[in-house]
Amino acid sequence: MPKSRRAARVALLVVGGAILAAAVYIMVRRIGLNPELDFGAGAYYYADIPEFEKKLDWDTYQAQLPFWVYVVLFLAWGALMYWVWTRMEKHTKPKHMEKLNHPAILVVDMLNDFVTGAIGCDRARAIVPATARLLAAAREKGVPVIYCNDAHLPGIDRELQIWGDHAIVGTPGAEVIPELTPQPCDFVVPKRRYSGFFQTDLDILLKELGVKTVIITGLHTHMCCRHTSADAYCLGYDVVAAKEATNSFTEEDYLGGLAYLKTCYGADAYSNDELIAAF
Amino acid sequence: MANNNNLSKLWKTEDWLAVWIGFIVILIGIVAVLTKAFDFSALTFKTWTWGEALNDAQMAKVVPLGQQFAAGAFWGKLLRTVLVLGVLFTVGAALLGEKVKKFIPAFLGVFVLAVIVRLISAEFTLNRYLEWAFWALIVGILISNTIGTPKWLKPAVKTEFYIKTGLVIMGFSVLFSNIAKFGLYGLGIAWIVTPVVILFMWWFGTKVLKMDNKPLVITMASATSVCGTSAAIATGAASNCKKDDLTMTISISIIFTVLMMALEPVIIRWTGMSPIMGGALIGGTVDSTGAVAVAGSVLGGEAEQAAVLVKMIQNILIGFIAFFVALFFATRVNRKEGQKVGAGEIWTRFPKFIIGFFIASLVASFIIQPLAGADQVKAINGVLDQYKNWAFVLAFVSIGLDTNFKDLVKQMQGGKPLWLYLVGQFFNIALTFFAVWLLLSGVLFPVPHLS
Repeated sequence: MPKSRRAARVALLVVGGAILAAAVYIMVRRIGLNPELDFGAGAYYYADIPEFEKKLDWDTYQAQLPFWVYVVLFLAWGALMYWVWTRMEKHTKPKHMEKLNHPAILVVDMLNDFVTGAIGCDRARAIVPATARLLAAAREKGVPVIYCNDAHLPGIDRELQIWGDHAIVGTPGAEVIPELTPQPCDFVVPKRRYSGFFQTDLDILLKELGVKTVIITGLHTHMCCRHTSADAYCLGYDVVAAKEATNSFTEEDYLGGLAYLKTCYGADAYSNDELIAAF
Repeated sequence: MANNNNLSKLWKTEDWLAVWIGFIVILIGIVAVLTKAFDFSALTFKTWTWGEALNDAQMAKVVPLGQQFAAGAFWGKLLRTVLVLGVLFTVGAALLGEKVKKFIPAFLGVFVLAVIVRLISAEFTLNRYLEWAFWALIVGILISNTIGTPKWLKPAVKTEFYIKTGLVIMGFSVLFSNIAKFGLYGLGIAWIVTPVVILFMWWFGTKVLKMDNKPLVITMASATSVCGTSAAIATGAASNCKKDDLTMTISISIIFTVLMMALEPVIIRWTGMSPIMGGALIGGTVDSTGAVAVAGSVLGGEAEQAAVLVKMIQNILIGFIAFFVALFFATRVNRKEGQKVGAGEIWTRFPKFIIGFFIASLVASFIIQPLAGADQVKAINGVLDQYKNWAFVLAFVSIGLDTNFKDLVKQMQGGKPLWLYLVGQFFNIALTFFAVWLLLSGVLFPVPHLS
């Protein structure tokens, strides 16, 4: 574990523990209570406080200005704050990412069997439009698009024992889905294991293309994308994830996959807008 | 066909059903109170004890459990509560596609747990610092992480449905017409500071801590700056946050409430601040409304008034803030690829229960209050408040039943939510102090007189 993470965890334990201990101490010693009141801190809303109106003197801060002045002031301040908020969000986007260093996109297993066939799922279909948009933008900017496609040998590849037959070489299930059909400028690298690098030409292809950063897209975030990222990292490439263009069977697997890529390979997850701005 | 589909959303989507159920409860509440034809109040437990040593003043409010159970009214109210909520939620769940036969026993099961939670949170010591939200989560989590949530309960584990319904009912108690009554001082302290703190925490959470989970950030920000649990429920639902986000926010907020309600009065006394300044500071910074009243009262009557007043304004602000959070998330955050957010799309995404919440609030503020008077609105809210609480207790028991403790630990994200809360709360305290000093110290403006 890196030093900074360990320090963060220690700080969390110390601060969190101290706060918890203080809260328990206060509760056990009954500090800060008012014995006269028949409610505690847990009355969360004004209507929950017995006889709340007696605690309010309605004439205290009596209105000295017409009603509409208060309403206008109230709404004007609210509107100003909302406007500031929208400005903040606008500036959030591409600011923190500089240009990607010699990027290429790896499209992992966007095959018929994975999307609509033997092991297809809704979450796989959900990323198709975003992936198509990212790939189109990449081609336009001259960023290489490389398909890492399962092409399994029936009865031989051991992954089939776990997942059942899928993406068998030469079958329609092993073809890229029609929406993302490879273009003449793209590259296709068949694979027989989770990783796009394992016993394939991918590394030599990336080297000869001069690629330094791989953008991981496709299926599934926590399996093939993860294994491909592992090898990419070990071989010296920088890894980033396209969070709108990758997915897993479940939200947990997807988020867990992204978190793992970030933790182990320093792979930040970016939106399409951010990536396209950084090509 | 398209038209049909659009219309059927009115009775086939959770949001709209929550609105209708909320409206029905509100309507019955209004009729019951105004005509006095029948009693509609829901079950509440009175304070009881496990035999703690209490002084006379405290004992005066305690009603032994045996005595509570022996009263006929108790069982009548219990029956009414379970019937009203049971029938409404069963019809709602049926329209959402649940099987009635399976839903009814499931709902009764969750309801029994809710009764246990309300019983626990009426015990003298247990309700001093922690109340139903905490105990509901604990009861739910204990069951789901030990014996496991039984399958037959699952159809009634409908957190969002209960929360949205509770919020629509709560809308009736948000009286806009009171805005003017607070005057410039009250508005200055509550309304100037609150949105600034939210924006600061948004910036700190999304940019400095780089938290991707924006619903968690906004839920936390509003819990810190507005009013703890109730604000977290409202903005959490408006931003469609996950259950674990809500659990996390509320747990942190409750723990800090305990700390702040005990420590703030001590520190305020130590600094020698005037009671009105100290009270306003407490009102602006301590999360939970109950804790504000308690902490304020420790500093005396004047401080308590100032504290509760500021907190009350924040309570009223929840509606506005939830509305704008919903709008912001519908138009700015949840933008997906290739979608343009036009008016139709905003309408599609906008959480409809917020509309129900606002309508309830407008009806209370501008129709019922002028027609029937503030006292009647208060009486109606006295009835509705309990239904709101029952809905929220059902929701929090459901959250607990749906929570995997391991996931919750994962959700800590290296402690980011804690840092967000801590930094945000310090900012909140500093800014509220500045506003309080500016308005109430007598340096720039005359100090208002409290009777």
